[in-house]
Amino acid sequence: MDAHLQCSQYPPHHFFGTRFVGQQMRAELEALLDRHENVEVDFTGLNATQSFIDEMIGVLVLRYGPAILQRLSFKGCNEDIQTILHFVVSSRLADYASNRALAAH
Amino acid sequence: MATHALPDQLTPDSVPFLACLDAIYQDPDVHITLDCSQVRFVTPFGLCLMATLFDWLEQEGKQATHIGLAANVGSYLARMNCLPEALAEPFVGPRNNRADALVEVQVISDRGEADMAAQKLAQAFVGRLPGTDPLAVPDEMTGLKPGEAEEEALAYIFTELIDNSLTHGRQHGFGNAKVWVAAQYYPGKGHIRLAVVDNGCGLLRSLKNHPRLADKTDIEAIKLALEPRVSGNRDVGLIDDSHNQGVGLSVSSELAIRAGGRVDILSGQGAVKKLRNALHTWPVPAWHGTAIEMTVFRKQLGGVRVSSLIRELPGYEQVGMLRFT
Repeated sequence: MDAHLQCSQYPPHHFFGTRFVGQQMRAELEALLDRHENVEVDFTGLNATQSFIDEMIGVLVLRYGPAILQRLSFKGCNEDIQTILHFVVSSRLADYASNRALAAH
Repeated sequence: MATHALPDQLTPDSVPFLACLDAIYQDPDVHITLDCSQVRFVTPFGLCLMATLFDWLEQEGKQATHIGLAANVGSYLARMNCLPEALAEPFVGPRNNRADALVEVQVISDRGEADMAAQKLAQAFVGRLPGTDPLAVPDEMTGLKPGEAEEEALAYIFTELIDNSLTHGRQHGFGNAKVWVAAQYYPGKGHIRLAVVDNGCGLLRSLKNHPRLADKTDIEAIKLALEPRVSGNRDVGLIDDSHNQGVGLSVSSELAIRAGGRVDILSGQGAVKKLRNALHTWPVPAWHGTAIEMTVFRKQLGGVRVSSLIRELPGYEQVGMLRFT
């Protein structure tokens, strides 16, 4: 069964800016990923910075690679959040690939 | 007892102001007297640096007094929470209502407070500006009410700058560093100035091991920090939970520039002013933390979209694997 993470239920509710809050939301997301195959992350009604999205989502991509994206979907993203997600995920996928290449040497 | 004369302008490009602060920080005397008789103009940058100074004097057990402070300047500094209670006392009293233009100096020391503080700052500030109505009907094209785009842009800048200060400024033995923020709207010029100042380790210490920092000077560290995808821990091969993509400061500063504004950064012995088509640098007396003032034109702020800035960053690509529902 899939799970749903409604971000606006968590403080600060409307604007998610810092890495500190990004870490907290990542912990919530990881707890759901431990118990469910897929998680829908719901950004409806809020805005966020690149730092927040990187800390919440980018770190997971860096740790687990592209496989984690098959378990995540994103709901209610405005244009800014969609764009930030593309930036964060594309650069973290590149970081993941380069870390793997380094580890192989 | 030493007396230190503050200049007429407490602003980012006032070297005499920074020289005066440096002299106070170097002064071994317990009793510090500030000659404020020349002070006429103070921006949020000056307010935050003065508040930081008074905090340091208190921590060091030093006693500060002032002489010659004009009533209108004293009243302004007192209402902006810049002065300690004892120094503000003579100026507390009837004063003009400037709630539509001022956000008083606030101190943030807990990372858990930063998001709420930044959001409240932006909300309070925009909510007070003339022409914003919380009950207004949203625009059909953007879905935003008047002032919402400005509020989001300000919240973006505040949170990224505060987060940077509380994260990177707290390295290298500055674990208890604090952040001071203040803002003001100048209706005559139509611009907003906001300042974020920390008493942390400074940009040079944060970036000293960065492979792209060939010239280990404060000015070069500031210039490097303004470039996208540079941070204290992005490019040095660290793998931990808080490695950084290094775009927070560059996106925030570009947001200010696109809103017709400018960015002033002071860190260590370096100062940098970023304009749309120019970068000016000059040496300044030492300041171990980082002080940033951004100036934005209010009317242009709401028209700048974060998404367009992000798309221009090096490495941006659309990721087909991302699923949006």
